Amino acid sequence: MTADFTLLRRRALLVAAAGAGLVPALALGQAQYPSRTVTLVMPLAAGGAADALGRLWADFASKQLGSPVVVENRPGANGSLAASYVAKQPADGYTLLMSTASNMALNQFAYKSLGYKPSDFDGIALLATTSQVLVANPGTGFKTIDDVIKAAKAKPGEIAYGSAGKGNSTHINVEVVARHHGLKLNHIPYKGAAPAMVGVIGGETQLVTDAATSAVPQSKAGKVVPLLVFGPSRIPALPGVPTADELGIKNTYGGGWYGLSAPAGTPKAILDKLNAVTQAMWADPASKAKLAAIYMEQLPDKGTGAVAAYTEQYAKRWGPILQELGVQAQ
Amino acid sequence: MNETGPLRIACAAGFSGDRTDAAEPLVRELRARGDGGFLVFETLAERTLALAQLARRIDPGAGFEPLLRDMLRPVLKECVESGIRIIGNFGAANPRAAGQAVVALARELGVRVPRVAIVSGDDLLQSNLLHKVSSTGGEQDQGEVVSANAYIGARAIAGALREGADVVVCGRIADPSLVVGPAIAHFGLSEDDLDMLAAATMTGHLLECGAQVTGGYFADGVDKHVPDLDRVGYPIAELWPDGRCVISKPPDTGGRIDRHTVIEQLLYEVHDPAAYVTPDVVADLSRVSVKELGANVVEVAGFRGQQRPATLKVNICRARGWLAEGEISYAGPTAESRARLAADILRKRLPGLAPLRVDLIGVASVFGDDGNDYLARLAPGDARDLRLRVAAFHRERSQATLLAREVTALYTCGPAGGGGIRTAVTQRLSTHACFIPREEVAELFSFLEAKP
Amino acid sequence: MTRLVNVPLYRVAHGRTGDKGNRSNISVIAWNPEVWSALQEQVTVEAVARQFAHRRPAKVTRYLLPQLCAMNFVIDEVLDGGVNDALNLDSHGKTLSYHLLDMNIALPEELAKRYAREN
Repeated sequence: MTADFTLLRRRALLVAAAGAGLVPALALGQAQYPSRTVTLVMPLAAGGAADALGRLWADFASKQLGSPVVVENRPGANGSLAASYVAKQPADGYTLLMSTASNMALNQFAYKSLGYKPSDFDGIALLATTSQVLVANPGTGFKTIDDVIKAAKAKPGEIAYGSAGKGNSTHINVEVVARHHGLKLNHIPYKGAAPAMVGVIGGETQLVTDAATSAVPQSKAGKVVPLLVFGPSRIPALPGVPTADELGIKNTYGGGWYGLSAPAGTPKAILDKLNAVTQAMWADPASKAKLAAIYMEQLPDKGTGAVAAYTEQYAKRWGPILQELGVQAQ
Repeated sequence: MNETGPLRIACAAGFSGDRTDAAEPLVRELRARGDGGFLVFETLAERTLALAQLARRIDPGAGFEPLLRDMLRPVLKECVESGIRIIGNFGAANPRAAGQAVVALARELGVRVPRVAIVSGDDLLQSNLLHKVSSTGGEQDQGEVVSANAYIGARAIAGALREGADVVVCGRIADPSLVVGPAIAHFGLSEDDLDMLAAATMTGHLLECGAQVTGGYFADGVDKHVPDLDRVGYPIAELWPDGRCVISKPPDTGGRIDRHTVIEQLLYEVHDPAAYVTPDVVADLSRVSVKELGANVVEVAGFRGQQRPATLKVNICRARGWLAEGEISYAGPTAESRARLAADILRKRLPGLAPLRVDLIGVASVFGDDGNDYLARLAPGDARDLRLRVAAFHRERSQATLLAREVTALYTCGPAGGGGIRTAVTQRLSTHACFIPREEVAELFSFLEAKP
Repeated sequence: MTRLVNVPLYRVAHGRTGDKGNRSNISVIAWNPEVWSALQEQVTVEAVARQFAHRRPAKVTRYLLPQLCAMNFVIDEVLDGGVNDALNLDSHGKTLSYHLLDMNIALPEELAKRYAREN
């Protein structure tokens, strides 16, 4: 297409010019970045917490950059479809990807062929992390994780827990807890978080883990009982529910992470600019409040290199578990 | 009862006169978190017990916390029905009458009458043990002994809980025992579980002043910000089997719990942090870690315990004469020099009450010393709105009253423009700390038989 | 040579007073670990004794909890007898924490900038 060609050609010119030592740090086109609409491609369907996070960022970025930033949802294959699409876009800062622990770190263990690799992207910034909560059907009588442990030891294999899918973080988190305590639990995978939550409320399963955005309101409404938090800190709305870390259960997956990435080769000045927008968002009290309302927390690593670092960390830590669990999607 | 889950315990009152609406959110939150929580009330400062004894002399049915019904009315039904057990030192000088008041309240609310246990042994006058204390203090101007109480520990509370008490009413106990008792019952602790006893003691210490750990007594209106102090949440503690103490509060309440509010309360009324002495254990908090686990959730860990002392601390209160106070305000131009002039006049009028303490409220008051050194070193200034306060002590009421009369006489005999005179003459109670060998004191509990 | 600037202690630390009889304990807790060494060096037993000289304390002891960046001062016989004997409006001495926090400490200029009042 004409637009792509022009951009590609401009990039080639820039590369050539840079080689000739004629171009200063902010090269032609970059000084005015962005000069048109930027698209953030989301790896999940609209409506969930991650989607809300992306839209919050896009809205804030539009104001900071003085240019529209729109969101495009391309769900599918645990975020692979969105990633392989963005990998093929020009590295000019106008198409961005919401990278996640799934599409960057774990999918390589779950899918035989992906259509992209993590090195096809340059990291911009870590956006946020969120927590997950292990909840129980109220009819079980479970009020704490100790109740679950006692019951599971008394009746191995009888307590069922749902998850959003085999190999999904909601599966891994509970697996780690079960292994830590030597419990035999019965895993029932669902096709997504929503049906898994419906399953536990209806009594089909006794336990499920879900993102805080859904688990907290359900707990408050009395539909489920919160038992354990997978994440860096206790959730303000559930101050009495301990984290897995606190109880000495290390290496739970937590809530994963969300980040921003661009196709590899994107100019550093653009990556830095978008990173700065992200830090500004977290420093802005109004944005911070909105993020807290969707249970998003800031991660401590703020540089552009953080996405790559977390990708490597997550692959190393949970890749093997996924392989052990024999996870293989289509 | 050897529980592996945490002990969950909340404190709804930090002193006699504390807010009486703190309990409801605590009870709601305790219920949400699981079964078998505890709710404690700490309402006995040093003087409170002596005043309660005096009250009991006048009325044998009195002598317990006057606000007991106000504190329990909002939550007694819910606690009894959900199995949240209540422990308090609101028995003061008359635990039996306090227990009966609880039973009467239950009947009034149409609730199953709770099993009420009364803890005794602290009242040394009642057990006729005054002669066994290390020293009774009597200086020449000391009057009769009004109260003599040993700070007993958690043993009786734990015993009562093990035998099924729903409400445990105490007189004088070491405040942290309000938590140590439940901890012993919950975890099945022995006297040798020193580190856990220390953790339970310090958990009690963090809880025992109510909102002082959740953002109360912390804000300064400038940099130390605490939201919504008008509805500050009171604290809930989780004590875990590994000795970690986690402090939080009910969600949707005001206040603030972070390392700063917690460390302030941790060190409050502590001297040597390596040796905090209580009847149950000597706690070492000098090497604790303080960690924020989330917004308004803080963990303190690393408490160590040493063998408890062979003696119990005793507090003896005597009637000791009278405190006389008088105040008068001056404002506008020459206010300060008029106030200083009035002070001068009073000094000359009250030679028998020397040393007379002089405060210029608004210029120099609470920082000053009774010897007026601080005030003497202050150059006279131009304060335009201040209140002169003079105070003195005398063994005899008639002499103390002279101060009140002289301050009042300033209306016609004193400097110009003085107004708003207030005077007060109050009974002084002296407290004297001493010790009694532990084995002399029988720490007992007994159940109140509910009248049919 | 870094220039030293005086900063009032209450901007750099916070604390609370407790009392038992004629004895007061006042905690001094750093807002940030970066000022801890200055606090250790300057908020000493001697400095506190001077600050409370007008109350003629019998003894001042300082306990350090370095892992918390906190110190605890125990000041004996500083309450004119304490809650039952003093003529002070505040016989518990609860207001005294702010008397201690009113002391000045000297910080290197760069550090002091972070704690000085803006207006």
